[in-house]
Amino acid sequence: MSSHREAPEIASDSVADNTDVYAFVSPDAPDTVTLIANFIPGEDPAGGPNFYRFGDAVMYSINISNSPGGNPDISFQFRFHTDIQSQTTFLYNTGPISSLTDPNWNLRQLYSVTRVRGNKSDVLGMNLSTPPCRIGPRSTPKYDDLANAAIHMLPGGIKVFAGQRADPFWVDLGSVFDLGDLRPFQNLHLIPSAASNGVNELQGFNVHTIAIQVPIAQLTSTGNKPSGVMDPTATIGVWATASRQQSRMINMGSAPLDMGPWMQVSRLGNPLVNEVLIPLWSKDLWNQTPANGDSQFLQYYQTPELQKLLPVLYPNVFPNLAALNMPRADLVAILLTGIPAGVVPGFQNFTGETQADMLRLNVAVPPTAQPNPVGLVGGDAAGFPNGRRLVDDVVSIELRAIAGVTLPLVAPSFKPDDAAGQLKDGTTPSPTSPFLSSFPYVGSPYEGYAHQHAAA
Amino acid sequence: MPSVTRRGFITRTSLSVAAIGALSALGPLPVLADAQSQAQPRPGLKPKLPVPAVSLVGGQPFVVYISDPSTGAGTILVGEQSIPFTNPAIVSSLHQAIG
Repeated sequence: MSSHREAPEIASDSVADNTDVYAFVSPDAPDTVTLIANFIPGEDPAGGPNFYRFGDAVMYSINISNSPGGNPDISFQFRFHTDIQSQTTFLYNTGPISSLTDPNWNLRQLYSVTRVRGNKSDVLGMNLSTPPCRIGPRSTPKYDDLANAAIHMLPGGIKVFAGQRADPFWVDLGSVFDLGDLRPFQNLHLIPSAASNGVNELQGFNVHTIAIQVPIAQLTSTGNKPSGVMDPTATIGVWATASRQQSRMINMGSAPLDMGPWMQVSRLGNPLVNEVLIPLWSKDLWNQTPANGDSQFLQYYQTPELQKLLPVLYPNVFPNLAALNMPRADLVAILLTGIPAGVVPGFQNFTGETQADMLRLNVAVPPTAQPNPVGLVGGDAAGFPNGRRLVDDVVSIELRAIAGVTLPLVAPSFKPDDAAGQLKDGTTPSPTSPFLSSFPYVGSPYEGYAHQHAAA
Repeated sequence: MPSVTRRGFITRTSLSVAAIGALSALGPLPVLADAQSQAQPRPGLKPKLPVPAVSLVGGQPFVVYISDPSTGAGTILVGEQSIPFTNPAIVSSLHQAIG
């Protein structure tokens, strides 16, 4: 999955586990950028009696770098606290929840938003309501109304939402971790079987989303909208983190006590990097490392293990990739520095020589009316790896990139194998919880009552 | 000191001693104060307890983590802060508390 349970330590700390990050110029508000970070992988919609919620002891951050160096020049920090209304019931709700202040809602979660710029912290909002989890027709009968009520306006024209949503990512997890199988091409696999369509194993599962929409001028280093795509100040770097305090004391009869400085336990910029590029041994270290410390992982971007595996798993399909013997400067540019001017005509999202894994969004590229799911590779500069939209098929994009499709951008003599440009896992976004056309864009969560697991 | 022992706040491992104390300290910290006044530092090692360590606590619980018992290096975790120190006398005192 993009970054669901991708590292040993974070796999056992789901409330802090960042599953996906998105950054795009808002299609319905193009003077703004929408930043989305999802957490808590694999939420079963029927998660009662203790339905899912953010971690009260976790600091969630969405970070923006708008200057060379990969530093978090702006961070939006989110802290949650849970309020239990009644001490006498085991129930999440004691009747239908018709509003965010409904007394029937027993366990509610509120949050604060703080913007940090250098040494300056501004609390933008406090005691903001999350919506309840989507339980069923008796408990949450008008769910979308509840979710819409949980969209809050903050000073400066900033919009924020935090709460349960349908996991917008899609991938054939059951197949890809079965020795790199891609069902549409499994007839060519080292252990072959008949080709078939992919299966989106994330369909039907929820996550918890933090979404914030910010005017572009508040995110750039100049304080203005950039003059054009080639403006060197037009690109921002985006990544999310989750942190916990260094020490926890478990106390009898009272809440655990956390003490000490905040320690980063989860990080996500580009999708699938820690999942697929970073070796198991280093995954937890990668999660703990600041984005601008990524030069220590350079070798894994330059020579991805998957690049070596593809020719082995699919014999005779990738002869040119198998013969490749050069560092992948294309992947380093896409994932660690941004694409400099002169590589893709009329486009750049370069942020300097500092190697930092961030989503790089050139905010001067306007949103496209008909997005191409393969983004920049398909000629749509408003999509990944220029930021990331919900519709971007990052599994296909990154499979193709690792297979060599993007290498000719920096090594024109390399000819990608014919199969490289066709790679995909054969899945599509969930049809049952479509993306929304307006903030927070992530689809309504799957309902516990209606949900059932597919027959085994 | 006796209360520290009774509560079993001290966990000893083969590599380090973690002094985990949810101590509601009002005034000087008993552990640190006793250690400073009673235990003798090892030759060649100067105790380097930061001055603010006592006053910063202000009634908050805190954790003392001895990361290297052989040198007395450790960290005080309080609030959202981390204050490093080196004080072999503390380790010695805690060893005595463990019994």
